[in-house]
Amino acid sequence: MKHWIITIAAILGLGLQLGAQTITEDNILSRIDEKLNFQSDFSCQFTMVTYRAGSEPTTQQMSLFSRPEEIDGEEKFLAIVMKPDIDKGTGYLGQGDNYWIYDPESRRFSHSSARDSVQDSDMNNDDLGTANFEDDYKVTAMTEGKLGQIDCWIVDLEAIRENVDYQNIKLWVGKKELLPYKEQDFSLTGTLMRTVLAPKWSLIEGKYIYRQVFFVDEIRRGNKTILLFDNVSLSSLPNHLFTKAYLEGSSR
Amino acid sequence: MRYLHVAVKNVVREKRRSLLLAGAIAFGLAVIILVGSLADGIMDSFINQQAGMISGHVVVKGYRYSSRDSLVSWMEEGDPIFQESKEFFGDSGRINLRSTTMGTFINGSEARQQMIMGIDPMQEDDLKELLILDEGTFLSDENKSGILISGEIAEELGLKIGDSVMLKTRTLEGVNNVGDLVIQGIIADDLGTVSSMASFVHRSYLNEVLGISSNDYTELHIFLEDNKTTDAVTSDFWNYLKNKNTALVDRPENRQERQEILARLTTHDWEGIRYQLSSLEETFPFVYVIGIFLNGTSVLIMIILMGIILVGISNTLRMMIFERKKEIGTMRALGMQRGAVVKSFILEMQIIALIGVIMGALTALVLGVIIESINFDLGHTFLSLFLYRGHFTMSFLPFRFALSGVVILFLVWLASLLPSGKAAKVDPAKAIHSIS
Repeated sequence: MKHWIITIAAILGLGLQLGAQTITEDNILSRIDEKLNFQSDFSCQFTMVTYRAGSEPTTQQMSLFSRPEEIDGEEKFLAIVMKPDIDKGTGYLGQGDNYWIYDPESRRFSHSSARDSVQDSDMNNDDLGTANFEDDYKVTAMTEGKLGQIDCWIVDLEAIRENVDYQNIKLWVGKKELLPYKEQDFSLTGTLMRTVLAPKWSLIEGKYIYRQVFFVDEIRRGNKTILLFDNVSLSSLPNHLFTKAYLEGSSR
Repeated sequence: MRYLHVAVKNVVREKRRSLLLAGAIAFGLAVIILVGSLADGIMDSFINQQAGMISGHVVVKGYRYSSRDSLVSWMEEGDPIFQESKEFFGDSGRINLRSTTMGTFINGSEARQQMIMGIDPMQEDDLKELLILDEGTFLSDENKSGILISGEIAEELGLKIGDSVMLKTRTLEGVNNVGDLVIQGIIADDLGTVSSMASFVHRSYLNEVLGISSNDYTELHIFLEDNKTTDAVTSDFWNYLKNKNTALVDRPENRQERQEILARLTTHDWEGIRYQLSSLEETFPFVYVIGIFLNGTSVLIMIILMGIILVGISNTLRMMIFERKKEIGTMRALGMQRGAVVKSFILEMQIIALIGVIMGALTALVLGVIIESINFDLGHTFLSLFLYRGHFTMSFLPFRFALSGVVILFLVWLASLLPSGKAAKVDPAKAIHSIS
């Protein structure tokens, strides 16, 4: 009897474990969003190195602050350029679907969109916000494969909402941590337009954080942008941080 | 007839003075005609180039919310606006269906942003005539992925005929997309800045890249025979559509109101399609401001020159009368009436003025031809917008010649009145006494 109880308990335990780990087309996107998004405020500093064919690379340092939708009812982010001095004070503010760029020289805000690039890089305003694969895309195919030595789910996605930059996306998602290590973005006609690589992650307060991200322009050869994240914190941020007044004040 | 004989005799008698005076009148008239013709020619040239290349004289856009709820300008093949436009304009306007977008041409690591215009090559004979190609051929239905690109951009991107170039743009829904095009023709830079304002592709191909059906379009371009009344015609067309209960975007009174009206479109509290009508004046207001400035300048020059002519004639006549005082006295003593004195002087000045007008008109024509023949080659500067293939265009209108000539003759008559009147009042006895 005891033998059977142990066996059944083992089978049940194994079943529970398998159930917890079973990734399917129906749940992979929500699981990725869970991994990438925080329920708390987020702040960090990042260095952005932009390479343009025929030109010297440019380096900028920015401070990034973000707040998920769950806290205030709408997603918010604020990014401020700290270096170089010529761009210092330039800011990007996002509140829900509204985006603004602040120019410290003219002291004016101009309306932007999720699709506009940040500081002429290969990264868009939208890339600074939270991931939302589950709401924006559906899985059309899912296979197993490898990215280097990493076992991955290779997932093909098709857009289901209008506010997306790319109609089709291919993700390489690590099986172990369910982190997207590589993303390929395709045009409506199926042309590869951009590749995003996130080879390095850190575990901070139980959350996985990007440490390095590469945006590679597949259309214009030689163009790419590298992001290096540092000083990451998940501590609460003051409410006034995500306002135009703060951005204007911090730029003086 | 008698006065004419005397007047002609006096003109011939003082050839030098007559020629100088006629020459001054000719100069003034030539300048007036040239400045006015140049102003009109520049405006005509610019307006027709802009209309032909970019916008037509009247642009119709159809705003609607797409299936994914974004506001776009997009008209489908069956939309009634095309038929309504044909009914209104009839033979007085030509209607072309076009699709437009902003995109980036990419060749390797080189890139250049530009407006892309999707056209139906078989319907665009006027554009074909306007675009001078350095190399290659105009678009055709046989090769729908062909593109006409300006020489400046081809050089910048290192492209030649037959090369492929990638076009990066967004669909009407805003999704990133690319197209692969083949260089079919390279537009000559003769049109200056206008040459590189847009590249041209087949509408059906561009529609594919924009994610819409091949026969759909984003703009209706209407070309009028008379480009001077675009605003009035646009308003009339708007009223015509309004009376047919067509859903329209309000016509703005000014530029700011235009922005406000467009902003109200994004409230998404309406359905279906709403048409926006814009005249070339609204699309390129600065052109018409420059036109007003040019015409104003030519009017000012005309007023100044005519004032100078007026004063010149008057002074010259006074001098002549002073010199001929004894002659006038003698003629009066012999029985010539005052009226006859006035008539003879006026006639004399009118003959000189007529000679001047003819000389001036001929001079204006010759100088105009010379000016038109000069290639100013302003490259891709702002000023090149007002040239046609590097040349100024003169708009020699018969009425301008006629009107200027008539005004000059009238002014000369006016300037002659007072001095002639004074001459007629000369006392014959005193005049003869001065001979003695």
